[in-house]
Amino acid sequence: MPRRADLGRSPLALALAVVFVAALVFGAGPGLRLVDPGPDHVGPAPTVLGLPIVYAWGIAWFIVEALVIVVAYCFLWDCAEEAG
Amino acid sequence: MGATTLPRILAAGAGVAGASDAFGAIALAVLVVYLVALLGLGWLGYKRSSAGEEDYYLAGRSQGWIVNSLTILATFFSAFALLGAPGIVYRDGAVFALFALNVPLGAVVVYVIGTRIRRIGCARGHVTPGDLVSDYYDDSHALRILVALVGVLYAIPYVLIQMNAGGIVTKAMFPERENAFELGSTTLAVVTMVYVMVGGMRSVAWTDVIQGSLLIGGMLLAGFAAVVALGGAGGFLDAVAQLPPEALSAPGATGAYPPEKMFTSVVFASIGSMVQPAQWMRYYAARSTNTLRRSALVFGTVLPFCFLFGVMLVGLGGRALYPPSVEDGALLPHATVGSDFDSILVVVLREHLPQALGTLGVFFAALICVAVMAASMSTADSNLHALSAVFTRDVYDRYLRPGAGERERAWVGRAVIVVSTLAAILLVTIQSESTAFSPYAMIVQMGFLAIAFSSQLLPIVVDVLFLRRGTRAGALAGLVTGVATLLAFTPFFGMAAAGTTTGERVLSLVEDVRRNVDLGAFALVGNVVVFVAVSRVTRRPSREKVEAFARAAAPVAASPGGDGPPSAAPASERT
Repeated sequence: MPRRADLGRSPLALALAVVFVAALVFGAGPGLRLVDPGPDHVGPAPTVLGLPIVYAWGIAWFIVEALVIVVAYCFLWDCAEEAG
Repeated sequence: MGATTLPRILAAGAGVAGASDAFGAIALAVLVVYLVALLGLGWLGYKRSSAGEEDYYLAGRSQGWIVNSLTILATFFSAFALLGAPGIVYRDGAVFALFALNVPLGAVVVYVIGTRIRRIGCARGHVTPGDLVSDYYDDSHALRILVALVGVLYAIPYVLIQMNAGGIVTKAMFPERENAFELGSTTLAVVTMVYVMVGGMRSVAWTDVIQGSLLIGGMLLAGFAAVVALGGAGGFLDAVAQLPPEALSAPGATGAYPPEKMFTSVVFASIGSMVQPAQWMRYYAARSTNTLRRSALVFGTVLPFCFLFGVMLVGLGGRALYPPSVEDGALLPHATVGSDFDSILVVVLREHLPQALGTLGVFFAALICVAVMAASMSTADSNLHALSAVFTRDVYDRYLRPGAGERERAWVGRAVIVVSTLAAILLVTIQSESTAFSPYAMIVQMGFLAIAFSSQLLPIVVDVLFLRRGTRAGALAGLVTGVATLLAFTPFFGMAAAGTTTGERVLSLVEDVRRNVDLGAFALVGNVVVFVAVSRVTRRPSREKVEAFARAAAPVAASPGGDGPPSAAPASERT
């Protein structure tokens, strides 16, 4: 089994990086236009579980980012306790 | 984060909890306990410290993960977290939720960049960002000074803004007391100065544990108050669903956050904040790679959670409770909120928490006010401490008294803290006395650019830690380009350029840029282009230096010898 410190360029690292960048681009970037009702929206604002869709969109992509961090923490990031 | 319109924050809330006696007494008790605890931790930090610069500035490079994660967190979120951010949500609406996505990116920076900075710093004895940058680029004096200048441009506005916020919070807590503002800002400044001065990084980090915990609790408690004020979760969701479309969509009610600007702000707010001197020194101070790994996890998950389920609820709930109005095309806060959107948190607390929860509500309101003060102090102390290190290491030790010993430098650092604090108190106290010339107001304006300035270090950081293909001349030219571009966005350039045709055109361009992209990202484009172009035609650092940095930055397992420490430079090479 490879050591964590050697996994910096592994498929897992690449996959996590792609997912994280996607979360940024879709969450806070141009991807927002996929769900944004816009200021000229007529009628009740779209919601998810009662939350405004833009707010829910932010929460959803935060969950994705947090999961990436948790996976990286568990399987990728070096946990050496070397002294300074 | 933190450069916000704090000068008037809470002015409308100068009657928290109706200035009731109960609130005043409870707030005073909480405040006294809090301040005494800070001084106690400062004293403990002093007792645990040993003589020497590395101990004073980096706590002997021995910070564990709980202290390290909370000090990174508390340094990152200033009074902006509890005042500015709810104010923006109240003004612009749900779109600001997306800003929370910058924090996990900051966590990635803590691990990916922070661990390399720590390894190199440990191996080569670095204390400040200037130490590392100058060391790599052939002991460049110009780069050291420029990197120190970027640090100062970041730290000074932050210290000043936070101390001012302390005064405003005190005024809000004790409105009946004459000179509450002056008393509050001075008390905050002096207490902060004392514990930073006596205990250095150890005291700063320990107090940040209390302050970070208060900040987290305060954010969640404030969100809870907003939900309670609207009759519970169901009432809250119903009320928010009725908000006007512009408050529930991008680019927000004032049009301030089109997706492109939000995206660049999210990316560069976190990266810029995480490579500023105070955070950089926290990477050096971490005990191990594992410490920073754990800190990144805590930082990237806890803080955005508090933002999304605390701050956002206050702003959206506040908008439902106190709808802003439009007058002459300008969005204005509700009359109850006063003249400043940033007062919404205090108004929600004042009007609703005591009603909903009785005495417990009064206690919580007092606790949140103290949390605002904690948020201010945790940012002020870190920046004061970093300012002291930058001046001592990058200026005093290099150019004023190169032969000074470690103890002397540590005492000079303490003197810098005293002088900076007294200057800040003076500026904050006299700010309202002159309308013609206000240095305070100008520095606050500079504060809006603080993160943009520090993000100009990014190309250098990436080059030194990962690529190692740039040159001293390239790094210098790129950084000068980035900083000079940003200076066009300062009030100083506006004053100089106004009145001339060319100047007006440039100012118009500046305004267009300001509206559509993050300023740090804009300046970074020129910075990177110049860095790369100049690096292609100038000489790289020596092969030995490049290899030494590559070895020092490498993960432990990649080093020959396995789990041992990263290859340390010979003593003669340590800066």
